Amino acid sequence: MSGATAAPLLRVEGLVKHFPARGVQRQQGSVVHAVDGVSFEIAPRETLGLVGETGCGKSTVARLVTRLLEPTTGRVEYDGNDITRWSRRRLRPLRREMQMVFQDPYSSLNPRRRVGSIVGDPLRAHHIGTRSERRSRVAEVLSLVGLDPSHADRYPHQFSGGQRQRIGVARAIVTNPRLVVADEPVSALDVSIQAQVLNLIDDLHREFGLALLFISHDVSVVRHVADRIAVMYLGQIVELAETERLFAAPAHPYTAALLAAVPIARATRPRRARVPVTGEPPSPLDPPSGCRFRTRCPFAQQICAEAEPPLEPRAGSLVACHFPLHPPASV
Amino acid sequence: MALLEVRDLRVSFATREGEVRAVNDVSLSLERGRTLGLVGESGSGKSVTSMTMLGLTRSPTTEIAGEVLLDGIDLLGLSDDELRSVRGRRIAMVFQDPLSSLHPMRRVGWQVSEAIRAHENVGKKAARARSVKLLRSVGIPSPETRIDAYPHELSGGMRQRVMIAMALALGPELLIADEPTSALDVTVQAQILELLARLQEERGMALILVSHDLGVIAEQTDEVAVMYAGRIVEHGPGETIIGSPMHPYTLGLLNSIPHVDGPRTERLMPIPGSPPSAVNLPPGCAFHPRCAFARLSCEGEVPSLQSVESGHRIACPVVAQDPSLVSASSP
Repeated sequence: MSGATAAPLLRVEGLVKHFPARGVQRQQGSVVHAVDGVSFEIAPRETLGLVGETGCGKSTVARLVTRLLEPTTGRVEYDGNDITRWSRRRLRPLRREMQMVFQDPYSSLNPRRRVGSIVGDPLRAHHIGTRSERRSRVAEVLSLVGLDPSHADRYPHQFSGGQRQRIGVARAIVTNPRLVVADEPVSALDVSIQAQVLNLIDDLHREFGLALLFISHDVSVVRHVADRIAVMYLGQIVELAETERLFAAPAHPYTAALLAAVPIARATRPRRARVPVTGEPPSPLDPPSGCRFRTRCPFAQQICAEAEPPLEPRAGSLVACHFPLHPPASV
Repeated sequence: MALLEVRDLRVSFATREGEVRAVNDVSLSLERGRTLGLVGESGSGKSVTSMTMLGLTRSPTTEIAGEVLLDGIDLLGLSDDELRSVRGRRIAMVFQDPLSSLHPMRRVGWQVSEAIRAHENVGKKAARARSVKLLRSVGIPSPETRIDAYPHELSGGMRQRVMIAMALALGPELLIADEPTSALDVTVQAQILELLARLQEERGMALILVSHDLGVIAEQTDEVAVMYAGRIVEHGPGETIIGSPMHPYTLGLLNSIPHVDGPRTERLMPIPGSPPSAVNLPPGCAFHPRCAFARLSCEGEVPSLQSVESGHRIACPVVAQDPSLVSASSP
């Protein structure tokens, strides 16, 4: 599915979020460049994967998109409306349509409340239905996510990690949202359980035609769920492409390095990890000039330090690089 | 004689909820210079097994039985003082989180020197010179100046390099690395894994790599032991375990992970249910409630490891008797 053709459900443009630094650096006026000019669209029913390493700004993007954070500059458009400056009150009805699933199923559920009441919360908040209608809707979504509806009066600690994440998913879909933002929804889970939750997200996505912004540090997980993938590095999108294309022919050197670094569980693989790039991401307090990846990039030239490469269309995808890999002809 | 020989290791903790049987009848052996991967999900007993080898689980509420023979000496029988002289000198350990393993208010050079001076009678100057050399050998750039850095001034990857330098300070014969890269990003993980492999080769050191990540295990180890509910359920050469696993649990794990290479999996095949609580293990084979091949007999006796081919053992009499059961669902 391509996000460019259908009218987008979500459109963000030039999103920037700077946080004041902490400690001594705050007095010096330093800012953390958490997100620095991010633009993308998500079509109805589409899954966009957002992948990147620690500190690249992907979670900040999730919170900006859902208006849990105020952007420094930039726009967030939902269903054709610019909601960037909407008040909390005005946003309320939108919250029904836009829900979030968080990483940690242990801290995102109130331990002192029963599961039925946690899942029913969004319904109460939006005054949807009568009490008994709400109760039957809760039972319905609990069984949708594979939990026993009769467990609605249990507390979160009575469930395993995977089941808790199902509760988190149930809460997110109870209002029939059109967009779900899932921030590392399976990262806290063991692999055998992770697969259960990924399949569940897949089913719900298909069945209810949700659009999904799926954020993860795990390239293989994102590959499994996403139609298109945006790769972030130090607050910026460096490549945005359809999933198949991104994996077949990564154009940005960082994307290529990220894919090559993942250890693969196959017997036919040559043993020992290769080292695709040296060093570690620089501090977002003081990002490098020009291309932010240049300090670690094996192909960096003089121009990479001088000019910031724009995110430009190239053979059906978008790449921000002066010297992209895989010339389009060979793709 | 093998460098390390673990026989019938059993570890249980007395807790308010009851007796936690964390490790049950674990036996394994490791030759000099070889790498053993210990893989399993949270609570499988892989960390308790490796920590017990170093005497790190000793406490009034812990019950430990069996033998841990290092060159024929039973470490479990040593006093705390005797064990202290083995730790660091002959067996060293690297943990997951370098930030909580390093002293936050001491310069890293002091910490590495301390590791040397605790065991050897060397002056401060000599220890410092050795520390600089060690830091250089683990790939820390300009170690002469970095030696005076505090842990918080280093990146995650650099901190883990410092931990490795400390572990190697006294030239141990066996290094136990417990999830050494799980807190790191993949591009940095690749660097640390490569470093471990290089150091191991240079020093002829044996390595036990504990990880939940089958990819890391596949690329890094000679031999693999898969743990479930405190027991080794499958053991053999890395290529065999990853390429043609026979225990239904190993098979389930490999089928649940999405891959970065090959065709995209349409549907993951998760293991149903969730791992049992160590307080209340199912009777017989602890995996039987989740197993697709379970028979009535699986609820009876706890299966012991049996050979299915040379060097390959599984704790599953059902599959051992009829290997064709699993060949159909191989990954």
